[in-house]
Amino acid sequence: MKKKLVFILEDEVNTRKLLCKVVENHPALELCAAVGSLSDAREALGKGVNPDVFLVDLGLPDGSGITFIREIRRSDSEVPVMVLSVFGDERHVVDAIACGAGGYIHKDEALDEVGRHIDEVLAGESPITPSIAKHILKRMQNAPEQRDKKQSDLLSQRELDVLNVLVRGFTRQEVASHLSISQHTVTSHIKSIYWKLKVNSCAEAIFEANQLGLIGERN
Amino acid sequence: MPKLYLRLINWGLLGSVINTLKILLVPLLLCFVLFQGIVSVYQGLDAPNFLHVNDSQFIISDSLTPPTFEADKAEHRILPDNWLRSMSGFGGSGWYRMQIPAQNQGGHVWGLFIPRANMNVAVFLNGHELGHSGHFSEPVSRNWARPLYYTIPAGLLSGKINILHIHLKSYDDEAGGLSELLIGEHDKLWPLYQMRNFIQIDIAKITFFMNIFAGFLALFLWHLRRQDTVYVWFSVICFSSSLFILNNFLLEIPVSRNIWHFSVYIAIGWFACSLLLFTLHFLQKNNRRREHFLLIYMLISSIVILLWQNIFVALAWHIGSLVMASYACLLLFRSWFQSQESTELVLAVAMLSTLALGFHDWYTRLTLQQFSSPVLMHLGPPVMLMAIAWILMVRFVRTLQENERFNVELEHRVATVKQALNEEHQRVQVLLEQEAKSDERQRIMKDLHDGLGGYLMSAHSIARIQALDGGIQQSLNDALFWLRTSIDTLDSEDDHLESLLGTFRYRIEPQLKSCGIHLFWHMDDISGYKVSSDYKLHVIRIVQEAITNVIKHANASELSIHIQLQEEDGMMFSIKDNGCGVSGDKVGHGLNNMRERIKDLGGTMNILSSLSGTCLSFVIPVLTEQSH
Repeated sequence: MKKKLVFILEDEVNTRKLLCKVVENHPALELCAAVGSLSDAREALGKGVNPDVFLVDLGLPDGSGITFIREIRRSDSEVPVMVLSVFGDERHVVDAIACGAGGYIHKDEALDEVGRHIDEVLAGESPITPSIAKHILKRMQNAPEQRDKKQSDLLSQRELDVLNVLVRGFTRQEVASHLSISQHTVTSHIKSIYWKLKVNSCAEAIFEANQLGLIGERN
Repeated sequence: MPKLYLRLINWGLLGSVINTLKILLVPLLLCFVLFQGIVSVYQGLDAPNFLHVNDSQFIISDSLTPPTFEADKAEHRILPDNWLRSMSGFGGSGWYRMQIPAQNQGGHVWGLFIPRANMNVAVFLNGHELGHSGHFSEPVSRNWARPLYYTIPAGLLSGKINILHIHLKSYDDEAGGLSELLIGEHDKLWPLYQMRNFIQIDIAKITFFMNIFAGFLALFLWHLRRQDTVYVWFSVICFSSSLFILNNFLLEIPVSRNIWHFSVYIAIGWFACSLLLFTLHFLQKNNRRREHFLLIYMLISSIVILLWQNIFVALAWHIGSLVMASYACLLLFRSWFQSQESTELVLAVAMLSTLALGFHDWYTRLTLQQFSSPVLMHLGPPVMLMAIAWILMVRFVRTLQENERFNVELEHRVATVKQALNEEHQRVQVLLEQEAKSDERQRIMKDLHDGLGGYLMSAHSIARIQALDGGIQQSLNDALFWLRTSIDTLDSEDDHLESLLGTFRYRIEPQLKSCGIHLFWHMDDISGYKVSSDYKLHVIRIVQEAITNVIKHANASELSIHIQLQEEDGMMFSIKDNGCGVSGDKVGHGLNNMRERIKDLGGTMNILSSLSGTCLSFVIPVLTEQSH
């Protein structure tokens, strides 16, 4: 089987080294680039590297990792992006998910856990933690101009149920048995939640831009 | 249905009439007594036990002593003699001569009572001057409505025919004349005179001073409350009525006769006009243009009357006055009929009686009956005065009550607003305090996260890269874990416990796994409970301590954590392992810490330990979001 190419964007040298080590030691992964700044990342992409997954840190010396995620998404690339996060910055992680990130890795996680998360994302899953679930719930409930949104863009009752159980620390498997649904259904609910978060973030961005007078009236 | 409707209306009207009658009872009784007095006086005048003198001879003469009555110059006159009737247009001095049949005074003092003579008289009996009512020089002493009385000393009336001479002086437009005379015993005649004098003179004097006082009082009230123009017109009512009442009893006038005479007419006009304006203001129907028009009419007319001094102009003026007073009366009755307001009815009745009394005097004057009827117009103003005083009193009391009610309401409102403000203030204080705390927590959180967290992360990475001594790596893990939970609890944006505990489970599980411990996790839905940062930190540290104990000392392969809601807002944590149980010396310090924290939260702790495992449980109180 062909090894999956991993692109690492992390400014902290030791963490970058550690992540490189994780990738090198992983049987199914191969490092394609490891850079420490936005400009280096752009340069590397410009040279024509074609990774299968991005690991992106948010706080970079020359900008935010979210900018980089936006750039990847704008080029219509469906390549999964994982955010490298530290504790206490769940809000930024949710921002990144809203911009199209598909998962995240806690930098202090056990090394084999890091590898497992990358596998999950590559397999098309969307990882989620209680605090991320809490932040998504909060954001979807407090979002401005709820009434402006299409019914299909709002979280369904089932999705809310899933989030509410996830918040309480239950694993995906436990959520499934708790709600009497399959694990697969839970996964698709989470994917749907991530997708709606993204759609709503776009709507919010337009709404806020309208408020600021950045773009013309919609009608 | 229509019948019932009609009956309802009638009952309503009847009810209000009964109410109004109750209010009117006192003034009505007063009027009745007054009326009875006047009637008795006039019945007394017809009493048969007095000698009525009404046959006389009259000659025109300026003499101050009884002149000789030449048969060809003397005219026969029947008393009462009204000059307007017997010699219209005459003004000047004349003498009456009357024959009184032989009388025996029987040693008693007798009296001569002249109910009315206009203007001034001197009386001579058998050539002896009985007295005079003033002087004949200009302006002649004024006896306009004054009854006159002269005593006849004992023995002056002789057993033969007695001759009575009366000198009378009056003006062409003043209705000169002499009423019928009464002669009789002093003791019986005097009360009759006194009663008549009381009605015509004493009441007038009392009324005059009352009106002057009320007029000044009203002006003073107006001075205090300029917006109440009604007081001005009330004072004009008082002053104008004072002037024509003064005419009833003032003997020596301070100005020429003509000026005085027409001033009285003018006063009557102003009285009527001020009644109308008072009514309009009282009913709040005043129209500034109408008021100005009326005032201009009054001023011009007054000047014309004073300068022209024509009796026909005065007559027109009187008609105008009657019209104004009648209109005021009509307005009041109509308003009462619409509003059923008792004060309006009282005023209307008082005004109607004043109008009736004025009309009486005017009518007797026109029909030349003034020498056989009393003058009554001066009784109107006191009736008006009483009615208006009563109304002002009612209004004053109402205003006072309204004020008191308003004050009570205002106090109540102020108290409510004050309380609301206090509550708001306290709320703001709490919010400010919370915000300050939150800001401080955020600052500490950020500082720990960015500084200590960063260095720890870095050290952790290096340790792992270099695969150093596991002990160091584990310590760094613990330090990171500790810091992470600290920062989680400091997050002021999340005041719920469930995501914190959920995150805790998510983080602790890999660690437990690496120690070969399988975790069973259950948590009830506790999203309805809000807690403080301290509370969160205590709970996390208690659970952390319990798990650390299990990892370090229990040698367990399974651990279950159950978080359940209890009845009456309690939350129960039970942490159970299948290890070897605990003995006091191993975990003493950690247990004491947990006990302290649970005590701080107001909870209770329980440990069951055996060789097959340990179960630690504690219950802590929580408050629902609503009751928080």
